[in-house]
Amino acid sequence: MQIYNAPLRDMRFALNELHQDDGFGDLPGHEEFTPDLVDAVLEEAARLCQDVLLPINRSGDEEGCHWAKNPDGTTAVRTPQGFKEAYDQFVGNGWNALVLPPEWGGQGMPEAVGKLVEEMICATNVSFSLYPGLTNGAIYALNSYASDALKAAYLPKMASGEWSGSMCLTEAHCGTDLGLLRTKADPVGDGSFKVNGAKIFISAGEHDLTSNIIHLVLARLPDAPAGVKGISLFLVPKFLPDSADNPGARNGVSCTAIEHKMGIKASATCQMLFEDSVGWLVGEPHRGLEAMFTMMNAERVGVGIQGLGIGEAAYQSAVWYAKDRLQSRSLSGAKFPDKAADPIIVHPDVRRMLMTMRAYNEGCRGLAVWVARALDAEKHGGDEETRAKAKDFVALMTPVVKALFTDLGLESASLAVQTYGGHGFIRESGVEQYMRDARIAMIYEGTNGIQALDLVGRKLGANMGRLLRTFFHPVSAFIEENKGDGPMKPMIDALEKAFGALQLSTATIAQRGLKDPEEAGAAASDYLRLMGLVGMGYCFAKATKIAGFRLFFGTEDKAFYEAKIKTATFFFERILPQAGGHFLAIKAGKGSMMALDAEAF
Amino acid sequence: MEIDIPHGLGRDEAKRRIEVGLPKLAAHIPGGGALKVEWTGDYALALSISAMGQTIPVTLEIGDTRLSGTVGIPVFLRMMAGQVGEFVKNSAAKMLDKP
Repeated sequence: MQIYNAPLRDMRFALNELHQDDGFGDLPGHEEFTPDLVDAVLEEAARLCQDVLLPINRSGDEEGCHWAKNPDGTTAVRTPQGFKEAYDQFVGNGWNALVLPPEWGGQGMPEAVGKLVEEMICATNVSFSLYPGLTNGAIYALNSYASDALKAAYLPKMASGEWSGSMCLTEAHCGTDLGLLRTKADPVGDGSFKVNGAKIFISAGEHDLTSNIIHLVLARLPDAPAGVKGISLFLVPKFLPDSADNPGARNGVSCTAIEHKMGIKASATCQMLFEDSVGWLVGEPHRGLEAMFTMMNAERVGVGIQGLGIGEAAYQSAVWYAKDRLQSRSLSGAKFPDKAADPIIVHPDVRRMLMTMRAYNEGCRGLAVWVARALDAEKHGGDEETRAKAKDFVALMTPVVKALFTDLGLESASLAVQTYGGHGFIRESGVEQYMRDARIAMIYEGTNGIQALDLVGRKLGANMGRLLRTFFHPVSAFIEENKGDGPMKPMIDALEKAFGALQLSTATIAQRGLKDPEEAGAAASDYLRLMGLVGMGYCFAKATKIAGFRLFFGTEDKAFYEAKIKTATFFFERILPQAGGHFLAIKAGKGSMMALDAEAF
Repeated sequence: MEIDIPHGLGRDEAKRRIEVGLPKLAAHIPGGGALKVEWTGDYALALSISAMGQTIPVTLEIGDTRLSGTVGIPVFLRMMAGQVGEFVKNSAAKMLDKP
């Protein structure tokens, strides 16, 4: 059964307690977002997600997006039953514009709050999350690169949710390597362009939720150089706005097919055809990839949050089943002798699965809020130094958040299926949907392998390691500050060991990668996971310290802080030791990975 | 954060009780922490309570009828400033209560 109650207590902890000393708080202009106000927002979001989005998650998966006949005999893409009503309620209450700038009709809430709301949305209905998610990504790109005229014409209606957005990158022959794309844009002479080409895998490319869809399309100008340096970005609306900025004439954009997918079936993933469609250049000619990456980078953190959301929903659904399902007796003697068997939560291996999921979720949430606070500080920090530091930290951690969270989200979904046993493999249980829905997040917005290459190839060495220092410095300072014989010694020792492995791995990659880039490529995925483990370990160690102080000074929420310490202890004893394995894999180098000739496969 | 505890002990007796009580306070600091005490005047002292990487500076001024002072809250403990302040206040009150 799909169970979800927003983990508001842990969200408040991550938001209000865990990162008070990170230097990214107390932002000018954010004074009005008091803990009480934020609490109210989170509670209201939880209600919406639990009451509106969760009930249409399974039915949306079963029905999927499909073609339906219009009254005039034409066909159109339809979202599953209930999605249009849910979307109207969602945008009607302003949830789509929670973190958008007030100048475009948004509420300007901190990203740190927005990411927690996103987690709830993704936990309850990740398919639904893509419609407003893509729109917000398009808004970021337009806000950063579009002309004032385009902004004025499109942003207000996109920010209100009346119009949605899509990002059109992939073509049948090119996904990761966008330098190969063939879609063309020819200038008409009046400032507009005719865009021609075909795109695939376009999320929210066509649907019935909004009256217009604004596509951001990567295409080549006639004089474009080959490769990625010849790609420009164009705004192509489904309907051309009329003189009153309402949807007017139909543009030459059409959906030619709905992709048949493994998961996120209620998200309309489309094949799109652009035939002499009217578009406008966004940003500079041939610099479209830069603009698209503005959108993509924002999306990558959001995709990581999808993994976290699904991981939390999978965990809660597994906990419900583990308490309900009676099978066998506890190894330490019957716990419920009056029943035919004990609930499976008594069994150590079931506990292993539940604790693993729980630790992943709490660890990722801690990291997510840290990065989200930096997203806020990057925009609103009170001085240039804070903004620059936050920007570096976000750049470094974006691939980690994307890949780590989505890997762990799938693992949690798989553990939830395992907890259910045979019933987990049956659709009615609801948990197999989490596995199918989680899988795409490891692929889109740059596969997790690409994220690892981004981290190792671009971020590690950038500015002589300046980005890396935004992560290394707080971790090493925390270890130094807390060394000693106190109750945290086992945790600090374990964190120090894992951090040492990360430092050694960094040096190894830097040394070998300079001579042989394949060595860096071979180490990339292990390195990203190692950094993620250290990041989660840092968050858990801080959480334990705070919990320890809370318990000592007195708290009304003893159970929460005691549980936090127990979960952290599990993380340090049962998960963080994996850091050593990743270090050994990195140390081994590319040899065995590349040894076989291609013909031998 | 400021603290202010009224008492009817007189300055010298209050000072004596605090001197006796401070070693006991040290034993109650979480996580194998430490307490540093520096008398900055005949009736004024500066405490430094360190535990799990955090240091809480406290100043106390012993008067005839009141014990007053300040508690510095490190950023890490900002969310529990109220409880930290209460801890210091209660600890001081306990020292004054014990003959």
